[in-house]
Amino acid sequence: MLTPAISAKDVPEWDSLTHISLMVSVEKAFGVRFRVGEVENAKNVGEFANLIIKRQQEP
Amino acid sequence: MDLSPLKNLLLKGDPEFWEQLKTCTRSARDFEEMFLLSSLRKKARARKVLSPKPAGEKLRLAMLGGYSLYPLHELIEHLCEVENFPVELWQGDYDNYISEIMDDDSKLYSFAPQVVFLLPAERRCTYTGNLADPRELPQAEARRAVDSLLELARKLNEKTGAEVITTNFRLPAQHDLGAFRSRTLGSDWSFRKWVNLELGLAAPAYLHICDWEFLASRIGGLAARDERSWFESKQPCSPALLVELAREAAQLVLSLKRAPKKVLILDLDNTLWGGVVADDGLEGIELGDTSPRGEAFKAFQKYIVSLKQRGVLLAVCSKNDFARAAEPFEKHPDMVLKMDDIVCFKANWDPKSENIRAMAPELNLGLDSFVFVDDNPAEIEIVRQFVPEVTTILLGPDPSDYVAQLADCRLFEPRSITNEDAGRTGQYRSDARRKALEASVTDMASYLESLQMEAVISEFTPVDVPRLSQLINKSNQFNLTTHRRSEAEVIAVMQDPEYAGYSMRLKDRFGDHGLISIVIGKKCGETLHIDTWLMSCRVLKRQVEEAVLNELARLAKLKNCVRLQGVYLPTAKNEMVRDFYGRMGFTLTSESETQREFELRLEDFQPSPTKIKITRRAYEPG
Repeated sequence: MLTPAISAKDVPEWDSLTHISLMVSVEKAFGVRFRVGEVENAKNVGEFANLIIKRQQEP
Repeated sequence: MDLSPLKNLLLKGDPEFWEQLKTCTRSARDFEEMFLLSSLRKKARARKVLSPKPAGEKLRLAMLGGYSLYPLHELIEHLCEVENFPVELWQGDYDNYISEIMDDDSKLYSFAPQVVFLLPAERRCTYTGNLADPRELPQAEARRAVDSLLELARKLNEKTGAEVITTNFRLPAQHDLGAFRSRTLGSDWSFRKWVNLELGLAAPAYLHICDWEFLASRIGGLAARDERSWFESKQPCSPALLVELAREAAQLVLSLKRAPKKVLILDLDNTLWGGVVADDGLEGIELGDTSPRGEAFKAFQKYIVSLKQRGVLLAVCSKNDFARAAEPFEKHPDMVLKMDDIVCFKANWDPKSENIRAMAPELNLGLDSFVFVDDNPAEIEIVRQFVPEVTTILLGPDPSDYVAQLADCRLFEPRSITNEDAGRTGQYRSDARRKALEASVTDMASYLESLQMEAVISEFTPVDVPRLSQLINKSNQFNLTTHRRSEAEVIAVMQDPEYAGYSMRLKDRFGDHGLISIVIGKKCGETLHIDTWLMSCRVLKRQVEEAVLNELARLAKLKNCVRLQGVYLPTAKNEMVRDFYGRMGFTLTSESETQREFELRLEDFQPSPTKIKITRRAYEPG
């Protein structure tokens, strides 16, 4: 069950492969481009979602 | 790509999953697709979905370099595993590769890799002086950069015997200096190009270049870069280039075990020319400068000729009357390919699958070394179904793409090119003339005499090494032990006094066969153990076997041996030599499922006279 509070450490199969793949897929799906380091700073799914919205408004 | 059929196979636990996974992987276009396929693979392993037995033991592959190797390692693992070549991976620590290689006690060496994949740091491949410096300075620094990389590779190979794969260096994709970049050897652009050129030309046989410069140029320098991922997680490049890099590394690893294809079988209508010769006639087919389509077909023929020149054999398989099919080869002014270029020409109304199957015994080559190209999907399908060992390529729909389709197929990539490769078609055509003679002469002895055979027996010399290694690694049928050796290992045998080896070249009145037999013996006390005995199938039953044995016996006596010992190690392809030693007068001394051992006491041996005139070159006296 995906909730805003979930983060990478809650997902057993998470690794750098998953991370890169997720970031690339999200950028394609939402038409955004993240700046260096900021995805890492998002502490959980909720913060990540907020970041997506922010980059949609302010590329 | 729609992966739901694949996911369904996984859900049902169907072993068909693996074949489908391989197909999807081969056509996967980008990083996300590969990642998805890799996770499906891991799920299938976890659920123990029944898979085909791997081709051999897990290959120990070590990866190290100036980058984070995650997730590149997983892509490579996936690409190797779906081709049934599972690898056991070891990764070095980030940017610790120099110490891992130079330290004799490092964990790299306890892993005992069979292949090492090295990614030297691109950021350090740069000229440290001034752009205004005279050319000699950056040239010298480039030379030093190449030498240190060669030294790392040499140390790796010396300590582990492993084949080494190294990336070379990508070129910048930004305008930066502008046109000035090519006016100085000190710019990253020129400096790295120079290093890459020197590296490629100086690389020894055990060092294989994973041509990162080529791959980045192919997808585009801008698409190759991802500075953000470097800063965030030390990634070597963009995900798109990572996929290509992994594919190339896997291709290099697999090519260590798999020989390139040997024969290209061509359709005619709408493949070598536009139109159908039976309907349009010689004047109506499109070929040459009279039309754009005609030019495209002519360019395709020119590319095919270049394949022939590097050793690929060409054959034709066409649904046509023979005379109609041959006419353009003989009479069309724009025809680039000639009858002389084709070793096997089949034009009739039989199914193409039957024609192609018949080519195998005629050329004395396995079906799995054939590639068939045709623009007609129905023909491709019938060959796929009835001769599945043959690799097929469906050409089209646009003839201007044909050259790229063939040039990108990755089936004919040679490890080395020798003069024998350039002459291979000529040799096969001489064989056809010999067979014609054989049919006309009924008495074997006078036939052999009429061939006027001459053989040269020679110890191994450095200039022969590429051809020796090529034969040692490609020969499957007349091969008693199938003992494969890399060029470096052949050189080691040459330098070891315990080994005695020689090669035989044969020519006859129709032409030169080149190097056709290789023998390697090892002295063990009073026994000369035959480690390698292989021969080209083209010269079977012509007394070459007897001549080789005569020479072996002579060598053994020179080395004070009293017996020859031979062993037959069965493989899927060498059934023909199962009882070869028996037929040559050896006694069977032991037999098991995995080998048959034979012995010949030299005091019982009499050299048999042959119709072959033998000369020795650079050989021991006596």
